[in-house]
Amino acid sequence: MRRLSLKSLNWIGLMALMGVLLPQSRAVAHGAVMDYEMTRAIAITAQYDTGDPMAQAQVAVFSPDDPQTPWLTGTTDDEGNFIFAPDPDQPGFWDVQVRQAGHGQIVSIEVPDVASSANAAPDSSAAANPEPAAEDQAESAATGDESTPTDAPVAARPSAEPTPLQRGLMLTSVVWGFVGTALFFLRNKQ
Amino acid sequence: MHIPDGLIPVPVALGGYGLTGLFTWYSLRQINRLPNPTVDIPKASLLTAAFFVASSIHVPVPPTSVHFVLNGLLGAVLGYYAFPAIVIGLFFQAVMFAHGGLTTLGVNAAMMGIPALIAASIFRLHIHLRRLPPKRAIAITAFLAGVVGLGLATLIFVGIVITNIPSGFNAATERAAILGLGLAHGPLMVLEGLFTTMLVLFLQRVKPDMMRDSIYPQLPFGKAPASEPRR
Repeated sequence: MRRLSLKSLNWIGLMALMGVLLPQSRAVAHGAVMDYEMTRAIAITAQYDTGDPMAQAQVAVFSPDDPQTPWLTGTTDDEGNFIFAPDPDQPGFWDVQVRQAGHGQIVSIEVPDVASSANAAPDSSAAANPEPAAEDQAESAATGDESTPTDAPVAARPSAEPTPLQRGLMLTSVVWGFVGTALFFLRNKQ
Repeated sequence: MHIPDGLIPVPVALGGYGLTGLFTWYSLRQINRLPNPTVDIPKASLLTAAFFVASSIHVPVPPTSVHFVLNGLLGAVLGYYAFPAIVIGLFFQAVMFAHGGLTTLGVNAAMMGIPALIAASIFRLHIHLRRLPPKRAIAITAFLAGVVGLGLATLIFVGIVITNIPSGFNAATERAAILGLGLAHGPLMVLEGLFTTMLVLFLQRVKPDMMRDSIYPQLPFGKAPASEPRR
């Protein structure tokens, strides 16, 4: 009795081991079929310049081959995030338009040619901009994809946001320009 | 409130530049006909600074947030100077903060500047409100100038973006979002009207020579030109 139960335990263990070791490209249960493959995705984060996310904003993605009709449409989530996987057979500039209540922006994201991406590594936009590149690495690490930064998913932000200090300085400089103009013409009058 | 780059078709952007060019030329010609065109430049310059900063001041109107525009105020206080002031202010907003855009500068300037000129005419009506005490007439017309300036600009904004929803987007959702944003400008219109009234009354009290007639600065404040019919 005891041996039998041990043997059946072994069988279960072996089957479990086989389940882990065998390549799992398919999971079949009750007629549902799931396939997966590793792909490169583009993550968009859309914000207003107040820093508020553009939640539930409409997104249209235009492929390089047809910049007129949207290749994909969708909406951002509540944090203003939108992720899509461009067609790797269409390298070039993918335009992503985010729009809400007449506000929004277009970003052009270069999807490098898969064949030439190894050679074009230093030219890729991800490598040129240190901050998004670091994020790419973090993202690729999170998904377990141990690839070089150029092969990592391209993250695009609508624009480089100035820090509050930079913004304040820009405001002050321009205002000072106007005040200076006013003072100059006042001086002429007297 | 500012239309950004890339969301409207090129013909609309070009049309905006055409209108803005026309109105800038007209305003500058009117300014140039004044006996001393530079005398109001300090005032115009300071209010351009106020206009430039105003778009950074956000007013929460749940569920969204809107920002000050002040185009009605500029119209009431500056008259013809308001149009070039708005063009310059918008240019700096577009270049510094990517608020609006360089391709849409014409559309935005026409959208805010033409209502500003209309607001200037509305403010001038206080000259004709002879039955009311002058201070009250000024307060009422200044309030109306602030309200109508922003109200018209909002209507033009809604009109332009609602007729230019690209085919790739869900038009019903976008239309609802645009109308929601337009409605959110209602409270802001009242705020800007009150602000315009406060500023005009303040200037009239402490620096009356700054409050010359906004359309005919050579005239004393509150006096109609001789050629105009008096009521």
